[in-house]
Amino acid sequence: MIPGGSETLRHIAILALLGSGVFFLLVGTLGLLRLPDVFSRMHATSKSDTLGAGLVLAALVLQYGVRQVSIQLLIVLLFIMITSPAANHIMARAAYKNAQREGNSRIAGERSIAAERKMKQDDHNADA
Amino acid sequence: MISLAFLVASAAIIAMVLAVLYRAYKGPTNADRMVAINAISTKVIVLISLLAVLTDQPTFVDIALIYAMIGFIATIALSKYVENGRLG
Repeated sequence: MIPGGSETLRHIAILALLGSGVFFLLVGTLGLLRLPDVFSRMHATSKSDTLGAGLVLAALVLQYGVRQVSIQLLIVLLFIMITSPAANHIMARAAYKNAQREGNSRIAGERSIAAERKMKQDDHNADA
Repeated sequence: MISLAFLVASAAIIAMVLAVLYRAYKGPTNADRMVAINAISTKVIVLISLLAVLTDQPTFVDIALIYAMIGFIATIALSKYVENGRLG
């Protein structure tokens, strides 16, 4: 469908993009299943999901060739590339605020532990 | 032959969606479930685009775009709920 292009070469490129895209999606899924807490799971899925979806959609663009559908697929690809990091940023912020609010210091990190220590110090000063 | 590759990729993505659904069921906190649902929505967008090639109906790509937009808005609403404990 690409004018003047070799069909075999195009098929090899499609297979390579499709295979690497599915590989990255698989890595993200394994990270989501195996890693221990919310933030490491998010760290696994956000990057590899964005890259995997982009690679598979690029393979589909190559499959369609120069047509109107490939422009639409490129729009979907651009939209995913913009919104997926933004959505993961929003989710990480929400998870962090939630862990701080509920006092779950194991996943809220060092800042929450420092805040708890300061609260204990204040209580001690108030008692004395 | 190339459509067989798309079929295999679709089957692999469906298996991944089921695996991620286990995390959404099991996940200890609500934030885990939110991350899992976002991962599922990305995979479903890719799956709809693959179906557009497999069934030779290019209209499905529009549906994938709409799904991407709705998934983004749903993620924002869910994270507001997780952050404040209430919607709004």
